[in-house]
Amino acid sequence: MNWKWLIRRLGFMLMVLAVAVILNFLIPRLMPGSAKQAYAGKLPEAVQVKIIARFGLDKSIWEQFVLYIQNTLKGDLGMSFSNHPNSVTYMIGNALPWTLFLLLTATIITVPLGYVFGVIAGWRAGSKTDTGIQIGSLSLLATPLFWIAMVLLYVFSAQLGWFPLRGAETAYSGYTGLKWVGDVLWHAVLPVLALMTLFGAYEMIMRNTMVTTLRENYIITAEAKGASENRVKYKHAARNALLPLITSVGIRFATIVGGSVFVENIFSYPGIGSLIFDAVISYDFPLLQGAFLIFSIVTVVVVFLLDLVYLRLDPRIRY
Amino acid sequence: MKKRLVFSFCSIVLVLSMILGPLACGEPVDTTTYRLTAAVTDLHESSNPFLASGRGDIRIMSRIYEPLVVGSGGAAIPRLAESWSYDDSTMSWTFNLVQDAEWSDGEPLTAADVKYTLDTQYAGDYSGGGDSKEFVDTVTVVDDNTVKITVTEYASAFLDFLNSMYIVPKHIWEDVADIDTEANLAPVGSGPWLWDEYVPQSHVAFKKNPNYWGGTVNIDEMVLEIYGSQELALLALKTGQVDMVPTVELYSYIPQLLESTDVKVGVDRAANFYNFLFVDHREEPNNLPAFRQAVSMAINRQDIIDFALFTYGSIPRMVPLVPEAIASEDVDWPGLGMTDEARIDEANAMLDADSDFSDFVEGETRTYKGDPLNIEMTIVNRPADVQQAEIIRENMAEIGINVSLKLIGFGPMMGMMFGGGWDDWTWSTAGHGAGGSTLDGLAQEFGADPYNVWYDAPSLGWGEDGDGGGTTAARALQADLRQSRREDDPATLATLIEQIQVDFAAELPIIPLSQGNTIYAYRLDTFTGWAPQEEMDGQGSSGHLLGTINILALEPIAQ
Amino acid sequence: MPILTVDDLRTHYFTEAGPVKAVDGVSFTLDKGESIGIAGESGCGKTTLAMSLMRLIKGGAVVGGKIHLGDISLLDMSINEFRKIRWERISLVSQAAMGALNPVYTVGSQIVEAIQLHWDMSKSEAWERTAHLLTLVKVDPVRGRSYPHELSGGMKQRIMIAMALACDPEIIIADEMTTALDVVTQAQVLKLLIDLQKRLDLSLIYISHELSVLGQACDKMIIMYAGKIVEMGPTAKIFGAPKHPYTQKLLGSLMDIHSDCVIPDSIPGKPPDLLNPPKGCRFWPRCTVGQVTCETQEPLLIEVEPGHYMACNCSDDKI
Ligand SMILES: Nc1ncnc2c1ncn2[C@@H]1O[C@H](COP(=O)(O)OP(=O)(O)OP(=O)(O)O)[C@@H](O)[C@H]1O
Ligand code: SF4
Ligand SMILES: [Mg+2]
Repeated sequence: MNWKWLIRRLGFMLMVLAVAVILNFLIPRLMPGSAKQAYAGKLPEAVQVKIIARFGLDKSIWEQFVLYIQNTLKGDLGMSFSNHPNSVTYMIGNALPWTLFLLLTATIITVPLGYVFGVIAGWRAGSKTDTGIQIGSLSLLATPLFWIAMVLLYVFSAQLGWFPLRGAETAYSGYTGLKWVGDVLWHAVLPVLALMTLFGAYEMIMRNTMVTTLRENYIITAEAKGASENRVKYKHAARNALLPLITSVGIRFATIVGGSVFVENIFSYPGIGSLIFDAVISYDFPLLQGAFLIFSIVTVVVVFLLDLVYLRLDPRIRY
Repeated sequence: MKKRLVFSFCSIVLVLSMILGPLACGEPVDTTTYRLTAAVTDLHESSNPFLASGRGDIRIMSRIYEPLVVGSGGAAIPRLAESWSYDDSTMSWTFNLVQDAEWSDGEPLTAADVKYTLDTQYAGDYSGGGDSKEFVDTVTVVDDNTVKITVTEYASAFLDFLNSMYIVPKHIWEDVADIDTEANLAPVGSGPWLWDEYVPQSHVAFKKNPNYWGGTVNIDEMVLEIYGSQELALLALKTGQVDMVPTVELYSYIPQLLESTDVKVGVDRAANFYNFLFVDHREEPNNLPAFRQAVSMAINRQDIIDFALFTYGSIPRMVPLVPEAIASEDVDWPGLGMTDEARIDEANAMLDADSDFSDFVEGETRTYKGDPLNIEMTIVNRPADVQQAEIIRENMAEIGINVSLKLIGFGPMMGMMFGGGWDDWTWSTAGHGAGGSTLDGLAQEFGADPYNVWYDAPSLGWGEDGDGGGTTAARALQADLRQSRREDDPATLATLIEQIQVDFAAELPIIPLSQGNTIYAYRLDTFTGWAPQEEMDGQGSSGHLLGTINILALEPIAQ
Repeated sequence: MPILTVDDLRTHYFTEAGPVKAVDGVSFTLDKGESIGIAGESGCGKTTLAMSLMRLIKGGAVVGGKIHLGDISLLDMSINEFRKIRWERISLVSQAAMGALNPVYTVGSQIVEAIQLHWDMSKSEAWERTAHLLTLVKVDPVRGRSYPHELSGGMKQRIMIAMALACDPEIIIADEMTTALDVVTQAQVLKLLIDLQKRLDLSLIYISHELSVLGQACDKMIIMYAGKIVEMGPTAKIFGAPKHPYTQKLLGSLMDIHSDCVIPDSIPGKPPDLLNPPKGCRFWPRCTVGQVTCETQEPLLIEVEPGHYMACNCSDDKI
């Protein structure tokens, strides 16, 4: 472990989080209208009074900031306009596991797939296999996510009836144990498939770094040593080409998070994406802010975890 | 190798999900349980009746709780109150409760519960009961089954306001520490359903109330499932995944729906809404009745219904604001039934007659007092609305008025209207009932009494008298409308309405365009006994397909 | 009997414009314990020749000729069989040696990999041997646990030499082995290599720009020009009495400037385009003594005195 580096990254992560939290504080206060409007605007008057007191919305900006930080640390992000008396934290708490499940499953499947296809394509760059894979990846990359999601839904759910039309589980099913797991997986297939279009991006990155890596001298050394083709391909070339892929997973993660808003909405998936969609429609500012804050936290944490993976994979990282 | 492991793990998960999923779901839940599933596209999950607002909440509230009456446009049908009366001399309403109503926990429902509910709602300034709080002075328990509500002023919409006043059990709510944060996840109500499971953003499930005072519920469970879009909800209905869609908003899908012989599409005329063209009378020539009449004459209302509402709308009543119960169904719109050419000629003649307007020249914009008639019309950016606006724009071009459309979102539209910011013309929907409507906004901006919009709105003919006072003619119309809601003698009422009809046509302060209806759809192969059309009408906003009367009549079809 | 016999070797790269004849009829022999230096301007085909010997040509192929290691023909073997020859009998310290080590593995493990690819040895035995090899190249065995980026250039080059020795090969091909090192380190590494070569009785093919290096290190010299051998002979002869006009120019300019003993760019003109080499002598466009016949008549490599070969039409005319 490279502790110095780790501490630096941790510090960096905390700084990004701090910026996200501060933005979350500032945005409703910079918006036209007042913070009162943004926090309490659409709540019943009796509730408004309490929210105003809780967030000190009639106090000075500094006092508001202190209260805001205190509340945020306590996990109090305010009250949802459209779902009161449910708190924002409650709504997010219910939605987050579904979104994480969707995003992580999609990532865990897509990245290795992109890796394998990228290695195959990059190994024989210019071959027919390569061209085929590139056409596939490019078309996936060029097709809007929501469109793919809709096509999947209409073909496999609406027309063929193989998959459900909505949701993350059968409503009010009473399923437990393995049956419930099966039900959840069955509901996740299409949303995950839609998110898996990001495979195109991963494959392209992997393929291109693979091509440049193959020109490296250590590849010649490995071949000259008498290593088998697969050994050269995976142990030497792909192992190095993997590093940019991991970086790109972090960068792409924000994109997938954005994509999940569409995908969740199309599949009526009860995650943060659907929450954001509903919040936008019903002008539910507290919920929207909370959802964005959670998304920034998730993204930062994922990027940090990827950093740890990177740290393990690339010995060159020093500080 | 580790990588291989990860990869194979992922493929196993994927394959497992493909196999396990359908396996797990292929099995019916329980063959002896009858479940009614409804697809909804908006559902805001709250079962706290003090905080309930909006359609989503009302769907949940009105399954569990019940109001005293279900009012609609001045008339009402009984619910917890079996009869009621208003006494002008004491300015009080008396409600007689049904005898044997009880809460789902077995406690009797009494007048004390009603008083507790109203008092708590008003004291906490909650939204239940709408604007009724502006009128209510005191609530008194006369005896166990009688409540007296003393008001400060007679309000035409009082019974409508009470639609959302869900009576709650005093013995439960008294002990609630903080009503504002009470999620009420195990509600005790008096309605036909017991709240059973709530999964955010997914569904709300109810079990039947076996001891419902109002009758026997034949269905065991009811599930409201949230769908991401109307298309999907309707698709689910078509493919039999749900039994009903209580509100069909996507008119263009209806023909497709009708391909299935198992699906019936119905029109709930009670839960309808009006489409109005609001013209700003403070602007010239909007202030001229003749101008408004010419505009109204030129509009092809039949086209609006045929093309924009896919024939699921209807021609509006001549005077939309008289109580529905007594409104004349005869539609006698000037211009209706005339050929297009005759209608347009007539409208042109009306404008040509005024020398302030330049004469009509094909393809040119008229001028009024030398200024070209360029009119900006604001509309909500929704397909059906935009289509209606387009038809109006074309009609206006035929009489030399150049209309440009300004599209805005629904939220901004409401903001605009309540915040004051009317355009030359504003095209909007005004639902009736206690919720915020365009009429409320209109009344607020122009200084009328917002709680009596039902008869104040037509008086907002700002015209020559200025200052929101309305023109003499408009004020006479307003007085007649007020009277129409309190007139008991049928003969006098008939004459009154006839007079209103004539006055309204002459003044035309607001131009009615069409009447949209609430469309519902259900499957014919799962349950029988869906309420016929006549029973569906007149039940107000909570009276659509999920309503109690309908639900009690349903019988499952054994599969 | 020579250990390595190269006979009329031809290697072409296939480009869109046609075949690039990078090695065009090269023949030479290498005896056990002998060291041959190969010199020539950039692009004359030195690396191609080395890669052809390792059967590592990318984007091209050996299109003619024979290579014999002892009495086995290397070009007639299947690639899988040939993988056993690699490193076990011929190892390669490739050009730009800085990148010749895989950055994500410790240098020791890369040597271990080479050993285990060919010898049936346990991991600990292989590590032991690695430690021994590292001491042989005067590197502290603990350095085996280091990653390439943690080592200096000279150290890496020593480790490459250790790696080349991993399986006791008969032949080591060193391509521009010391180019990127500073002069002092260069001398140390070179001395180490020559010592080891002598001590272990290795055969060495040493490719370099640096003529002085070749002079110190090699028994025999091959001068290449545009894919062909123009002069070949004992180092003393080549340096003492160069016969070919190109060699003379090469050495002449070297003497003139008394510089770093690097092949200078001061021969006027450019090497020919190997896509369409001149029909006759390839040096003709730049040769100051050539005759008209040289333009069309290709000179053959002939033995001008015992062990000394050269290819020039004007071999008899002393300049
Ligand atoms: N993959 C390839 N495709 C096409 N042409 C190539 C390829 N590799 C090398 N060449 C060409 O073949 C010729 C010989 O190249 P090579 O690398 O063998 O030269 P070199 O003598 O090693 O040069 P240097 O001293 O710069 O290392 C050059 O003209 C080069 O441009
Ligand atoms: S053959 Fe002719 S051109 Fe070639 S090197 Fe000899 S003299 Fe020069
Ligand atoms: Mg080279």
